[in-house]
Amino acid sequence: MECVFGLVGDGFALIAADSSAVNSILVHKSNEDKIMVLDSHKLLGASGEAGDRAQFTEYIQKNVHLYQFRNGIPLTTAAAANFTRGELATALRKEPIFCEHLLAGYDKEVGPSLYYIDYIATLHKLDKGAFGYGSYFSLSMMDRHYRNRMSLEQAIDLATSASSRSVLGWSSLPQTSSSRSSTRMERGSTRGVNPFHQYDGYVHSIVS
Amino acid sequence: MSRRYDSRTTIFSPEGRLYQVEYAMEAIGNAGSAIGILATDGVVLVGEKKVTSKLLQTSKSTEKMYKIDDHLACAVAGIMSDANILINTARVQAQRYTFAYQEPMPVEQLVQSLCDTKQGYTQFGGLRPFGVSFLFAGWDSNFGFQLYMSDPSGNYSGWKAAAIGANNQAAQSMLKQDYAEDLGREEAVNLALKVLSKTMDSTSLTSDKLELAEIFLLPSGEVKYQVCSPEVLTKLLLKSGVNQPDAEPSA
Repeated sequence: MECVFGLVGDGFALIAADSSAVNSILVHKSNEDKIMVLDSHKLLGASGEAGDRAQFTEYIQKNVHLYQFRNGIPLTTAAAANFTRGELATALRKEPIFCEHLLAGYDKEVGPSLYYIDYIATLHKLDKGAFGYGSYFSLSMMDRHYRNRMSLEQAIDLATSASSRSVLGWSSLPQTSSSRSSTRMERGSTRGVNPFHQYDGYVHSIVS
Repeated sequence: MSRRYDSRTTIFSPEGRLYQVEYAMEAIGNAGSAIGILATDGVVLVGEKKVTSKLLQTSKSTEKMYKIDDHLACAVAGIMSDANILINTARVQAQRYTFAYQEPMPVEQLVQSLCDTKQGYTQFGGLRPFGVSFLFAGWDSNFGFQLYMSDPSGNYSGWKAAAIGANNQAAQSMLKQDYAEDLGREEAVNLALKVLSKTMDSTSLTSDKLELAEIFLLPSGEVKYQVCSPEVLTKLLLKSGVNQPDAEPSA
């Protein structure tokens, strides 16, 4: 029932995740934030086993921070993705971490990038990716409508339509407003239940 | 000087000194010298070979310079067998980093990691420190060309020009006088050869007494570590005028 999807656009990378936290017939929470902010220029969206998701993304976040504290420079997106994949691979032969991830980041030299990391430590650098039942819709929509270097507005439209058929956790996205500023990341959420995170070279806010 | 506090590495003397670490540095002061100079387009390492004998089998391997990773090399001064252990450790650390992050290890991080290893031998375990000083030369995308010096205590710092081994203080003060920020690689080589010729004990410099290595970028953007061949080195020595003991070396 969970869904995470992401795509790379013109100067930004975007991740959207549903916000349901469900246990069989019980909805624990409908505003669960499944996108971990790794640092000022990286996001890790995850879906899967609830405890694993929360613990593993936080573990990665802390290690990304530790690297920065120790070395004075941030990890590149590629390095962070490979590190994450390495941790999953190490756990695989002991006790797999049942959680799938999309890591989105922005590096000055490389631009925006998106990494698909599944629970058995597959790593792919992609322009668009998705996990969960919602991926059946989002991947098809992206196959049809995704173009290289989409603008943020186009990307949000695509994300809206990709999530519109899903059962849980999405609600219609209201208007967005955007403005350029120094490289920062801002996340926003709708009045409903849809945390919508985006990371890029602009500042964007979703106004409900 | 209190001899009673000598024998164990892991205790301070009453004056607050670690004698074993200092004795290790003494050992290095008797070893063949090495000089490193940071140029605008690369890093130059020059080393003095102490052991020269006709009977020595000249092979591809070097005595003073070692490649740690594609983008990183070092010059050593001190006990060679100790150096081998540390160089291997450094190589493993560099590969471990690349295995985890799929990127070359930043130069300072490698130096720091190796120095952490060296520090361990000054604090616990009861084993003596390594009798080696290093000059690390490398390139990474964060800070470009870099030169670091580290000693048996596990301290390190970044340098524009540095000398280790015999007569390193004299070499260091000469470097201080003659170093300029805008040196290119060729000028850096000349400076290094000039300084080494003045601090080495031997009367004349020949290519079999020296090793010269450079780290620079190829036009493709790849980092290249190149050890100078004896023939090219002889030509360089001639050109810079240092192998004539009476002639004034060119500036």
